Amino acid sequence: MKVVALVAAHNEEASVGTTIDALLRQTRPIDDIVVISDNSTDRTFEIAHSYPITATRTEGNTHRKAGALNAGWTDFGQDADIILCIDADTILPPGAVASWEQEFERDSGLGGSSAKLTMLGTEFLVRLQRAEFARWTDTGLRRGWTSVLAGTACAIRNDLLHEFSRLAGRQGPWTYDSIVEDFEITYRIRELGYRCHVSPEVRAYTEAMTTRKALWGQRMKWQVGTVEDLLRFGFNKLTRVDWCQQVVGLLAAVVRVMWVWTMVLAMVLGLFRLDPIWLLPSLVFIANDVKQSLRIPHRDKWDVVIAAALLPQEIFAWIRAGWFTASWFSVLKSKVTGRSKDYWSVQYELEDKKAGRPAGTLQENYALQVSKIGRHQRVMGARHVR
Amino acid sequence: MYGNVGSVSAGSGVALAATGLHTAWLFFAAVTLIFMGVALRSLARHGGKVRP
Repeated sequence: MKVVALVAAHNEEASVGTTIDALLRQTRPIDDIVVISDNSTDRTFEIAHSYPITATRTEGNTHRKAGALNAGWTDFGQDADIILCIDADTILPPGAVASWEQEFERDSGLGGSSAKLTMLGTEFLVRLQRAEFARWTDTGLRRGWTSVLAGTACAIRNDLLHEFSRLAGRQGPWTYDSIVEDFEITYRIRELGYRCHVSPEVRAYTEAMTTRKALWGQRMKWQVGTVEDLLRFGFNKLTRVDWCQQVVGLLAAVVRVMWVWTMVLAMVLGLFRLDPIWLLPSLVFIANDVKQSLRIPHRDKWDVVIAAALLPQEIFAWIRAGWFTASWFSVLKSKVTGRSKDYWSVQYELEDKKAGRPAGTLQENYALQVSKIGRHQRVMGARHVR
Repeated sequence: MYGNVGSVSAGSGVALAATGLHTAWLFFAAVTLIFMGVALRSLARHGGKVRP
């Protein structure tokens, strides 16, 4: 099998070298590593160009990541069997590509395989995101399928990408109509009858959002993109679960607001009294959160403490309820006014702030995090949990 | 007289709010039970060998 890795990079000078290093250290060598520097104003291209790989720059691309991926695929990826999409702030452990190749060889019905994503860092907000992604991954593994091949790190069967590139209005496999191109392409793969799953073997380490503003911006983009795509796809057997998630997410927001109003009203009327029976559900939720926290890869005691405290998870749930509601408002508003916010530019603005970071932070976080708890195999001078 | 009308009106308002609260508590109890069921099922489930 010929494997080509596409790394779309916008102002990633601080991390692109670490990503390339990890790709070059694969036990199963990648046939071509293509870094597409997209409208970068920093040294992303120069750094990529200093490695024995293919480094290229987009010219006049206004379609962001999808445009960069299409350019890289059109010029260097057409004759591949498997295409890897890797973000330029992501580390693949050495056995990743070998595992992916075996998955596709074993299962001819497999259209795409997403890596299990683990966020690097020890900050409070990062821990919450790591716990959230561990739950998402657990669900995907249990179901045996996923509706999103994470654009951060995934592998896709290339003959399917050829099919998509022939669809009307496309300049390559990735559409310009969606701001969540990974969700869209996963839907197209599943539409053709192929399965997409979360790989039980392949893990990818990536950077998380470290401020509330950055997290909000990222999630608004994901959520608005998902809602827009779901409205485009309609309700069908492929989108049923995603629609249910939207309904549950919105209900969670409504119930939380109603709960606060009820509590306030009860207190005002002097009818509030705390029955100990209400502590029972809280204890069940804490027990479940603690159980799940024990499954977080590279967890330490603070991950368990956060789960046991309940309050941080509850605050995170409030923030999640916020972006669910705000995204629906945003989509409906754009339908009425005909004007939509450019969430990619918000994301780029946030990512550009990372540009001032010292180079090597990703590698340092990886070494620090992965060596701390991992008990399995030793790689890249650090330990790696499968 | 007007004072009496005001008292009756306020009393009805409180009674209505109390009924509303009672309904709200029932609703939250139902929602909590559903989520507790989901959490208990998750607790009972074997996590599997593969780490997420």
